Amino acid sequence: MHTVIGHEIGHFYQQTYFLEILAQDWEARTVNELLPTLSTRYQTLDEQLLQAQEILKIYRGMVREILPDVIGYLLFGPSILFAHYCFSSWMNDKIPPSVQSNYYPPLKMRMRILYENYFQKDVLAIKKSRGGIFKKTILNLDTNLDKYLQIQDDISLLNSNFHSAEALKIFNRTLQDIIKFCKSKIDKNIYKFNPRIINELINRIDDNIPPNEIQAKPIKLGDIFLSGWIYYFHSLDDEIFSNGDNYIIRYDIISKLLLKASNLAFIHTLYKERSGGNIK
Amino acid sequence: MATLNKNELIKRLSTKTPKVNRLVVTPILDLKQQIEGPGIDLRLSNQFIVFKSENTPHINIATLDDYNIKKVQSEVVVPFGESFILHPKTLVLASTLEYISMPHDLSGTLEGRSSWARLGLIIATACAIDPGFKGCITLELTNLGNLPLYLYPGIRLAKLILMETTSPTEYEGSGKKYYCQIGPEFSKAHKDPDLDFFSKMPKP
Repeated sequence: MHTVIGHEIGHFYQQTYFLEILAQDWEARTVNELLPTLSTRYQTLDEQLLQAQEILKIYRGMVREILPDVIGYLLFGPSILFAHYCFSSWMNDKIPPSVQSNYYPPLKMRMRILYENYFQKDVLAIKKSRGGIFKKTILNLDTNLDKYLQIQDDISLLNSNFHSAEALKIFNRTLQDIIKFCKSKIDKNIYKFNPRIINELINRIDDNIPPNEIQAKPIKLGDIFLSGWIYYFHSLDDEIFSNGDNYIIRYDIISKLLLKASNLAFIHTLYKERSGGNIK
Repeated sequence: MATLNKNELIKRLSTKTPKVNRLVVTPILDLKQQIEGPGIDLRLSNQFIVFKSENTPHINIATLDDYNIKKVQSEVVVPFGESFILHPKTLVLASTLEYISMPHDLSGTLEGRSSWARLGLIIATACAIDPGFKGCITLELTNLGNLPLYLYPGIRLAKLILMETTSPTEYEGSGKKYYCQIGPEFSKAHKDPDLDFFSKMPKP
């Protein structure tokens, strides 16, 4: 439901990160650090360097996808984690990184990073908020995600292969630097949710109205996406999602409402800004 | 049926009545400009559906389906700030920017604004809005004038007139074909249940 836009924006910053941080001197330094380990498995220097490149490809693949995920989370909140969770219900979430998978990290690992570094903190804040569908649904999702991520088969999968295990070690060492980099790039645009607003927007979606405004004020994109996902997970057990056909129709309607809301909120905000705030 | 005047429209829009009785027109970017007299001015969205006349000899709804209707029509999105040029004697589908949620006790009709009619623009031929309808209203734009017209997404070109029905009505909307539409929709005339009967009827 459109949340992928945050991840795609993140690719812009990921390219900057590759140019600024993962430059030639970083690569040379990292290969040097890998050589003692590689020398225990591979005899010639040529072979060691070749295998080091394979490890770096896996590592770069992790950064290439996880850094945009982090940017997506910072811009639009936990919606991106929910989108991944939704994907994981129908696609393989534990594909090992390789040339065949274009060195994508396992989906479950991507979710784990977002869950442990961001969502758990958000849940703590939500626990203190007042009730409503938002709080109830987030707490349910937290329980389900926690249960799902407790099985660390994604990590076991990575550790079962020498190259991906080494790449994971480098990734774990640099994760906090990646997080700091993302925060520094979009510091002023970090999304903060407001449970009251989300609950009001959920009511609009439930009434088949786009969640684009409250009391004639346009809503932020993060609130629009989040209200859609919370409504989706909250309503999954309802009759409107009761069979395959109903599911597709309802999912399509929610998706359309969010898309319309995004467009309307954008033009509404622009109109207000250009009109000097004189619009009622 | 009584037409709602300006005060009644504002009251209806601001009242938080139960869902079925709530009138929603969202967003109203400028309340003063958009509600004048007995109607709400609606704006042009930035999505259009144009006909591909260059490779379409005719339209026969009896042979259309969801897939091949897109062979005779295609979608165009114009960024806000740019224009769509409507040439003389051509028909394009557009929609209102605003999303409408009609209560069960109001029906509506869409009229062109006279300022645009004077330039040759016809905005809709199927103008009735049913009680309970939700979505953006599709406009059938035609330029009856001799000169091309520049249309800018966001301009006010239609007026929604609302009338109270004698009793509340559930939305039927021909199988809800166009329910919750967020832009112009391709015709679904090929889904009419009686089409097969009349298009394949043996000659007497």
